[in-house]
Amino acid sequence: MALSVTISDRDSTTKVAVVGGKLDTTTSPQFDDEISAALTSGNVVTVLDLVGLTYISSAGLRSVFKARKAMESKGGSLLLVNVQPQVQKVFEIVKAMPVQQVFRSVDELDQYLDYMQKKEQDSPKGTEA
Amino acid sequence: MNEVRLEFPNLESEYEPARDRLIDLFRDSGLSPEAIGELELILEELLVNVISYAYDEPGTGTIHVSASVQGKAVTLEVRDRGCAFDPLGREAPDLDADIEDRPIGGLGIYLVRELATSVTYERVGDENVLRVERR
Repeated sequence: MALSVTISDRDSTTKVAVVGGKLDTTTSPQFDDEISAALTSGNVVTVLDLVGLTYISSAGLRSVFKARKAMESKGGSLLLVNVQPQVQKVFEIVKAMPVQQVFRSVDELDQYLDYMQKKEQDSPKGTEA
Repeated sequence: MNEVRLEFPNLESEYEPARDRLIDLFRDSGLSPEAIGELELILEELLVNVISYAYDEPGTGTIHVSASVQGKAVTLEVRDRGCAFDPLGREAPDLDADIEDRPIGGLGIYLVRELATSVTYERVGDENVLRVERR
């Protein structure tokens, strides 16, 4: 099975990439290529919805972490949701993803994103000294 | 006991057909989808690594892979005639380090060791012999 990546805007600050198939040595260059638009535009958050991802290898892990690094280097973050058990196991073995960036369901993720956006709106910006 | 023996040159294009032959063996032997998924990961990490690094030039060397299944127990053996290299000799990767700072290959062999029951390396004559067992 090949890899599929479908990117959409959740809102003005968040892009969601729904990933399906396999992320391995063969498909990771395609993933890097397709995800790059979401990493370099003005969004603050990129969500990887891994609902259809059935397999990940070390090459795929590297791609996910390159994406995380790209988001963090512009002051944003990469969040994961719907990680399937067999993929979750690989993430856990390499202890490579902070748990606070992984969400069990879209509902849980939505609550977090809404909370963060509200917090952002409520906090006074550019407070003068 | 079901068994498959493969021999192919060190070319990237050889990985997928070799993997597919071995996965067919696991499937025909009645292994569970979970076991097959983990065996595929072991195969990818081992075969991509040996194809990429065993020999200096692509297409100049030969890689031998044998796999056997007895009940739920799987034995894999990967042999090449490249320079002596023990992938188990390196230190375990620093799991606290940034993933991109970890040495290439280190993460893959770490996954293999975690998913397999045993992994052993031996230099036999002019061959590197890596054996993996998963029960």
